[in-house]
Amino acid sequence: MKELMYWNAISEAIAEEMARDDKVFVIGENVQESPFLATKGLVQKFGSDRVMDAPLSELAIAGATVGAAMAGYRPVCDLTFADFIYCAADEVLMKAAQQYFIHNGEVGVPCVFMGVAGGGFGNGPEHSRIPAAMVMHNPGLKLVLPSNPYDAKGLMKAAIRDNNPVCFFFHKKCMPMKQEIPDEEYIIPLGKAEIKRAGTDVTVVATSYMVNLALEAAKQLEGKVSSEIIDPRTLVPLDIDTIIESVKKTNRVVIIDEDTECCGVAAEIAQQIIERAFDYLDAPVSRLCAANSPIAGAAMEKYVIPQLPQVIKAIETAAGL
Amino acid sequence: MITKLFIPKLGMTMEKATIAEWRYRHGDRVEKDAPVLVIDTEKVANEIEAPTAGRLVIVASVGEELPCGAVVGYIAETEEAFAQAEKGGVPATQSADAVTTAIETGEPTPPLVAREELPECALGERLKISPLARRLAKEQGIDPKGITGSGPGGRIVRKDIEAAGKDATANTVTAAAAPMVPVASSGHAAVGGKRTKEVVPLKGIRKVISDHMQLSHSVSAPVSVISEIDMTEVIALRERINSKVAPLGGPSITFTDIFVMAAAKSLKRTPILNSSLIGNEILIWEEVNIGFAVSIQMEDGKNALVVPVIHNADRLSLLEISTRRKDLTDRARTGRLAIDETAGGTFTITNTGTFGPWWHVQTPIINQPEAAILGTASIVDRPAVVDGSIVIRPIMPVSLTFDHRIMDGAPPAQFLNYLNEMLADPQMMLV
Repeated sequence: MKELMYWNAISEAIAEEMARDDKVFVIGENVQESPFLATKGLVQKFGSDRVMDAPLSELAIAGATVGAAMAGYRPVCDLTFADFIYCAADEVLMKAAQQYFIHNGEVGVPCVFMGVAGGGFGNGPEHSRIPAAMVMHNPGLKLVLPSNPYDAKGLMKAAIRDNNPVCFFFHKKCMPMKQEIPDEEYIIPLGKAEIKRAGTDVTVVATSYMVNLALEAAKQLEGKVSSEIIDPRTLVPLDIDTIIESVKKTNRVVIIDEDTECCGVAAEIAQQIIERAFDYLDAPVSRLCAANSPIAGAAMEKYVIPQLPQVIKAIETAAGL
Repeated sequence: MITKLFIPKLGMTMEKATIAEWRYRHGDRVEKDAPVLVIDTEKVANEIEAPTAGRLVIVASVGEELPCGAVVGYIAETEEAFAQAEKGGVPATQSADAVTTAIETGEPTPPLVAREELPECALGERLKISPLARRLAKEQGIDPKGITGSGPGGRIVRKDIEAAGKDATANTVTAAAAPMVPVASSGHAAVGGKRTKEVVPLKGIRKVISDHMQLSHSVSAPVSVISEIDMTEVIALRERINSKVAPLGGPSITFTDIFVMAAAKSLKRTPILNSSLIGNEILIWEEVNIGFAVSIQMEDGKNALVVPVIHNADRLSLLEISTRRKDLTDRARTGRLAIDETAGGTFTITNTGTFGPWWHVQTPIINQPEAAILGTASIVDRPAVVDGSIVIRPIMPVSLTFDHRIMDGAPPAQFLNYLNEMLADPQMMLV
């Protein structure tokens, strides 16, 4: 066992996969220096042919990724900020996501679009989003949102080995997290939620960094509310069965997600719960998301993105207190 | 603690009620189960009993018409609660701790989670109950109506059902729907030395029928007249019509349809039977709206009776009567009648023909505030005297109950005479 930080767990996963399969390579803006550290040290190990710095054009980088994947490679495309997926939207949403369907399943696009996501540092509207609902809404893409180092490593390895395009959004606020990582290899399959904390009063489905806020809230509410915290880990595919099973037990549920509220991740999960567990609900499905607003920068950010007090309150309300 | 008094839903089609009388004044102390107010519904007056003891706060005044579920007052247990209730409010149930947490941390608390603020009242007629509580209530055979919900906005949640299930005397089940009798959970209780096998609460449509029948006999002076009608011609006519209508895809004409038509035409000639005694006036109605009793099966498997009304039956053709009767019957059986489809009747027919020949003479109870009711029974072959000789004829017993307050014997005799004329010789309906 060794203790790794979040970013370090990601770079280790990529390194292991690059060593395992020489079709895996990394491409992106300044991936050799890696300002967010997730590809740090890779160029020293694998050389600049497999850790390629690209010009500042997300569309071109994503296009090269799609082309390479169609030609038989397994590229890991670093979009830097997840927000930049909008610049690369045509390649990611129209091409990567749909080629497999367009070519009757004969040509796959196995690749990873990784990007650092979320708020917490006041980076402003163009650098603080988690474009999760947008990815979920486009069929053909998988979506991974790791909430801790252990999951980040296991999920990144699964993402690289997956034969579909996978968006891998890791959270800025998780960067300083440290966790014990086993020495032996492990993979976390996509589409498998984890119950991060068992409870009986209310189910809390939280995504990405919100998982950590929910766990802290649950700790503070101990003795008052017994919260069951579920981290879906991947939103596509979504492990709805685990959520439904929990809701049938607790009869109450709140979904906590950092993407903006309208037509969001929480709305989709809530609807699936209502369709499958209506007769088990003792209260309306509730949600706590970022407000329907651009993610404000600097000191204003906390008025838009859910903070711990609201998470606590949301869980209490859902529990019927 | 503040307890709401609201308009209970007493019948399937009941939507609203009018405040008839407050038995106590605002601020009076009332005891539990004391009759606090009287409401008038479409058909009947109901006493509402206090679900709990306390000081009365009156919100709705006499004469006000309100939908089911509307709050008409409060019963406050303490002085403090009384003051609160007088302001029209009931304390919000949200957790004080939650608020404190937010304040202490100094963090902004935008209202990101949808929350229902005040348990204002269950406006409209829908019962506020969580899907889980509804399912549990059904599984445990608990009637959630009348349970006081502890969730936001008075929503009934799981723990309320669990409490109701545990409470054998089911005090919580009575709540503000006062006319309901507490549900005994297990039965087998001894009453007057006799053991009960099952306890059926008198509520809902059963309660409405019960009150209605009682009311009729307590306010009217019913007299029942029994007669017999030779149905030979009606049977032949019905067969003839149906053999012509059926190939065209028309509805099958029933005896009830023919009775509705004959009664409507007879009523036109004896208008006093088509009247109501209201106050000191006998109101003779312009319209002839004929109700017909339909036996329906309730969700609990018990039978009940509803009386849909064919409006302006005297102006309709037999085919129109038949179509309308069929539509109303179907919807009555599936519980989809609108309130005005059971309202406005001026005369009622109850046809017990399907009960078989053993159901012969009957004394139907007048459907208040009407003046008379006609009972038709099973047609049976009997010896009859025709042109001086005894022959076998299909005979139908008919019973007419009329209100002797409104009329004496002559008009009912006339009515039966017309009816007999039209059924014994249906061509007379053309006259």
